[in-house]
Amino acid sequence: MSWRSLIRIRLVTIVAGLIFGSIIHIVAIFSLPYVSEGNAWIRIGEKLQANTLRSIPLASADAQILPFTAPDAYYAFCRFDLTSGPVALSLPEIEPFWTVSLYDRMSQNFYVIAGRDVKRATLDLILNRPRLENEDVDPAATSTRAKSDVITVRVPDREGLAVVRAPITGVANAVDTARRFDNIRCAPAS
Amino acid sequence: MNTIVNVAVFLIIALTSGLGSAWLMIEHGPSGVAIAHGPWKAWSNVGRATADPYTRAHVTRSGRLPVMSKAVLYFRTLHDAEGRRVDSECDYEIIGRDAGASWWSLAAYDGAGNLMDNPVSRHAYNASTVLRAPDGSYRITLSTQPMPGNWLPVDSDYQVELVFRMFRSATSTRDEDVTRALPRVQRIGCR
Repeated sequence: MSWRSLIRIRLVTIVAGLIFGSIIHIVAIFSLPYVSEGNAWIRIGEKLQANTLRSIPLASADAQILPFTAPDAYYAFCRFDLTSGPVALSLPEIEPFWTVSLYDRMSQNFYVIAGRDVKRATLDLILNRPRLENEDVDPAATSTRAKSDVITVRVPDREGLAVVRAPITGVANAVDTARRFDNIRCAPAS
Repeated sequence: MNTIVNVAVFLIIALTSGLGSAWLMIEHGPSGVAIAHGPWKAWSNVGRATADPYTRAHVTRSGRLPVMSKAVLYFRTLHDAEGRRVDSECDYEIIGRDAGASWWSLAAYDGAGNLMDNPVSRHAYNASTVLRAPDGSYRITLSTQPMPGNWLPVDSDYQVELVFRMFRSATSTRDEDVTRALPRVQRIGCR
C-alpha cells in the first residue's frame, strides 16, 4: 500500500476548511474592537483622571502618546465619565481648523465639531447619556442641537474620550495655541 | 492516518484563510472602503456611525484616534510614485501645490507610526510652514542629510510612512481638490 493511497485529502476537507475559515474571518473582524489591547483607550484613556482635561506637549521622537500623532498640532484629552451626571467641555476660544472629537472605548469617533462649524469664537459642549424612551423631551437638549450657545451631545456609553486638536498654523500661533489650551475646561456640569 | 491528515489540512486551511484574510482586510481594507489616489490611501468611512466592521477593526488595532473623514482626511503611503517602498537610505522630493481652501499637513513616521529622531526636531511641514515657489507650488526634500529649502529629515535605516492630513474647509472639499492636493513622492537617489 503506497502513501498516495493511504493519504487522500478529500474535497470536503478543503471546502469545510474554507467555510470554517470564513467563520473565523467574521469572528476576528467583529471581535477585534472588543479584545484589542493596543487601542487608544487602553493606551491613554484608562490612565487619565476622569473629567479632567490634560494637555500634552507637542509630539516628538521622545514623546509621542499614540501612533501617528500629528507633530504640528496640540492635543488635549479628557476621559469623560457620566456616572455622576453630565460633563461640560468648554473652549473659551476656538479657531477654524481646531476640532473637538468624541470617542467611545473602542476608539470610534461618534461626534466631531470643527471650529469652522462654530458660528461664535467659543464652544460649549454638554456630554450627556442617551435619553430614555419615557423621558420627557426637552427640545433644547436634543442630540447635538444647540440650546442658546450650548451644544448637548448624547453619548452612547458612560465613558469615553474627548480630544481637542489644534493644528499649529504658524510659528507665532504655536505659543498662542498653547496659552489658549490652558483655558479649556472639562468638568462635571454644574 | 488519513483522518489525521485531513483534520490537519482542514485546520491549516481554516486558520490561514480565516486569520490571513482578516489581517489583510484590516491592514489594507477591501476596495470601496480604502480609497487610493496613486500611492496614497485613505479609509473613507473612518469615524462614521455607519462605519463598516473592517474600518472599526482597523482603527481599534492601529491605536490611533482619527477624526471623522467629514472633518479631516488622512492619506498614508509607504510607497513613492513608482511604487517602491519609501526608504530613509534614499532621498525623495515631495512636490505639490495647494488646492481648494483646505489646510494640509505632511508628516513622516517610521513604519510603526513613530516620529523619527533628527537633529532639527522637525517632523512635518504644513500649509503654513512650507516655503513655496512663486507659482505657489512647493518641494519638500525627504532625506537624512541636510538639504536647502524645505528639508524633512528622517533617521537612517528606516522604512518611512508619510501621512498627508487634509483639513476640510467650510465649503466642502471636492474630490478633484483632494486629488490635486496630494503631493507626488519622487525618488531622487539612494546612498
